[in-house]
Amino acid sequence: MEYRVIANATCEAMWMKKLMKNLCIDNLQIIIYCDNMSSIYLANNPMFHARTKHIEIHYHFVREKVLSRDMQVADMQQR
Amino acid sequence: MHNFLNGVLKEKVYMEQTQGYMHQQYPKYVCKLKKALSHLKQAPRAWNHKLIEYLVKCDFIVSDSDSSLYIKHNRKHIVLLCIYVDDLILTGSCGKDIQHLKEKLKEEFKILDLGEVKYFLGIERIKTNEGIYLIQRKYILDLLKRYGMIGCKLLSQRMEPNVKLEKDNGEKVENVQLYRSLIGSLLYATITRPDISHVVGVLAQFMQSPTCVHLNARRKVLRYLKGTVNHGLFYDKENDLTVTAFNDADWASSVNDRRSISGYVILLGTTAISWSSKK
Repeated sequence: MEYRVIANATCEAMWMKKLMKNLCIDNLQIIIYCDNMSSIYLANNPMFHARTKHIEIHYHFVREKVLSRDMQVADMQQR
Repeated sequence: MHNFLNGVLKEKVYMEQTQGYMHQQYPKYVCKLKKALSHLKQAPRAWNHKLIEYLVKCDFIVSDSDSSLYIKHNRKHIVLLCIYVDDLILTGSCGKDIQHLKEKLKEEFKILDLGEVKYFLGIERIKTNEGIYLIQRKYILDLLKRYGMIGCKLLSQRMEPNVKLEKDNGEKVENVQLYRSLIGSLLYATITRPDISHVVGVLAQFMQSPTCVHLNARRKVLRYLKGTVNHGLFYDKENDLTVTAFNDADWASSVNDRRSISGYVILLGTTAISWSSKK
């Protein structure tokens, strides 16, 4: 569930990034904070796990964006 | 509205001759329209085409992210133009460029320069030395007046904590229309108020058959709003341009169908620019 919300927020953040690029603001740093450790690990570590099978593939574009360094996912407590 | 008359029609549209302007020799003839009239179905579209055509001629590019935002890059400077039907907002990094564009637009269309933006689509913009402040004070006060809550007592909570609203709990409300229109108005108020975003979302779930419990909850939101009419979004001038997002989810929190509520807020520097609370 938390992971799905990250995916939603990522969508919006990517839209924002595109808009900023249009406005000539490049290399915008995006950090998404979350209070659920497992979803943070899931986003940062592109590993297959039997228990994450049910997460549909389109939610995994979060990983893609983290890998391409478009954004970061971090823990709220470490802020 | 007279801007709609600028649009050039592509379709064939005929009109009867108006009274008092009949042709003496051929009173039964009809007129073929070359340009749009303001009550015509295609008038807004024709006007939009005409405007965009002109903007593209002036080297404007449509933004990828929003089709009503137009951008012009001019060496170091940038000019932004936002369209809402026939209202335009202009901004940019160079005052000269903006002035130049204004004059060009004045030549092409009949436009009225209203100066700096103070009130747009119900949103007030207050400029201070530190930055820009966006509030919907007037909109919220009008809303309270319309629903007879202008004299209500203030409340510091927008929603009772630990109370979960349910479907079909309590007596049914007869005037459903009122509840629905109020929710619609509240949804518009969330534009500058992320704080009521969640509670409005919850109340909107009971639009189908509101009960007196929901009406009470709605009244609380209005009382909360009255005490906080001056709250809004403040955009600091010296904001650093980093995007930070926070998100959270409430798993299976809905009593009726066990669905979850998720939400996020995205900040640019220190101010919220986008948020959502969804079931």
